[in-house]
Amino acid sequence: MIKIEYFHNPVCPYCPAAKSLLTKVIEGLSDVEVVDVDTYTEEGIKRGMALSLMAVPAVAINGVVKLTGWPFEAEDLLAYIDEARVKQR
Amino acid sequence: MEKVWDVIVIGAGPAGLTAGIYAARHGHSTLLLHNGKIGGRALEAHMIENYPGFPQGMTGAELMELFHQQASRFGVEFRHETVIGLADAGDHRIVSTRGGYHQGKTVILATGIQRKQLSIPGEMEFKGRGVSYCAICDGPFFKDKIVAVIGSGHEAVADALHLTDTAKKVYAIPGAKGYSESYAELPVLRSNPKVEIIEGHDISEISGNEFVTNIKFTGSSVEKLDVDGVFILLEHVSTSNILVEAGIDADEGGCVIVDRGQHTNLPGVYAAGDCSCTGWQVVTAAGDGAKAALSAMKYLKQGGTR
Repeated sequence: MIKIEYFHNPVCPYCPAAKSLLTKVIEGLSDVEVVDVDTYTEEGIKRGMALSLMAVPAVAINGVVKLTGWPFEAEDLLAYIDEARVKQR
Repeated sequence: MEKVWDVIVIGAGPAGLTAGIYAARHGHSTLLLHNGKIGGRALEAHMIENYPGFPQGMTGAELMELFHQQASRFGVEFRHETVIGLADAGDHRIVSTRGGYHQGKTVILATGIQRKQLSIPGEMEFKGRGVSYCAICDGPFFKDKIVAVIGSGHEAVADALHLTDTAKKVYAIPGAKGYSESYAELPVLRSNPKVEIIEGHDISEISGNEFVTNIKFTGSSVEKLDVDGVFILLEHVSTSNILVEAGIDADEGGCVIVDRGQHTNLPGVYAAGDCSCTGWQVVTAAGDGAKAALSAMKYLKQGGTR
């Protein structure tokens, strides 16, 4: 299973657009699970900082930050998911 | 027959939400299109203390949630769609979005502002890796770190102060323009021991390795500063291509030109809030939104005449 961590917080104006794109991209992908990480929580900011994250929205795949800041493209997200699949084989 | 809305509002900041409240409360069918979070740029305000009626102040997110609730209560229909075009079709206007199109007898533009970039070496390279355009969004990542806040506007002053809550040191850099002494927070910023204000010089480069490590200046006695983060908080209005293509008049700075009733040059089309550059405050944006809605309602009542 590929684990996507989606980093966001309640005041980030671009996060809903990022989440909407992410939701569309992973629709129907049975080998992907998404975990929402709110960086306004103590746990969330700790997780973000552990991954050297510096901005939201951001997407980490299997524990590695792949996309930071908005906008990002569906093609890039799909490419990173494919990359994770190849690594897991 | 396809639905023709009485009012289509584009934008969900304080101006758009207020326009929606006014129009819907008067029984007009009102569609509000937005492509971001409801509340717009006001969400980034960590504390709003000058919005009348709330003497203790509240966060921008809290205030915008109240606006949203009020608009919903009166029946504004919210849709998350990106607007890509606006055209006049005689007795109504057509608003095209990525998902289709909507027809409205009137349109209120409350599209806000776009942030200006510094356009210096390193800015794009380190975006998300130390360069940020939203202090309240990304500030928590810079706990006990050194940050620079670039910008001379009120928001830059307020956010520099906000960042002192988490950062170890804050360089406040207004650039050659300097700060306006009218900002209420300026004396507090100047006296904060974590803050060092560097006035009179513009930043020329952002450098680093994997992440930002320093910023450089030209023509300054301070040539280089070691920093972990750079918050770029320049205010700027840029009329989007959509408005230009629709034939809406804007001034040289990109501000939509409106009269006292928020009318643009196109009949049945109004502009409110930051996109018309009238105050940069939640209260002024809300006032603009109300005026725009009142003008739209008058237009509707008069059967499509101003």
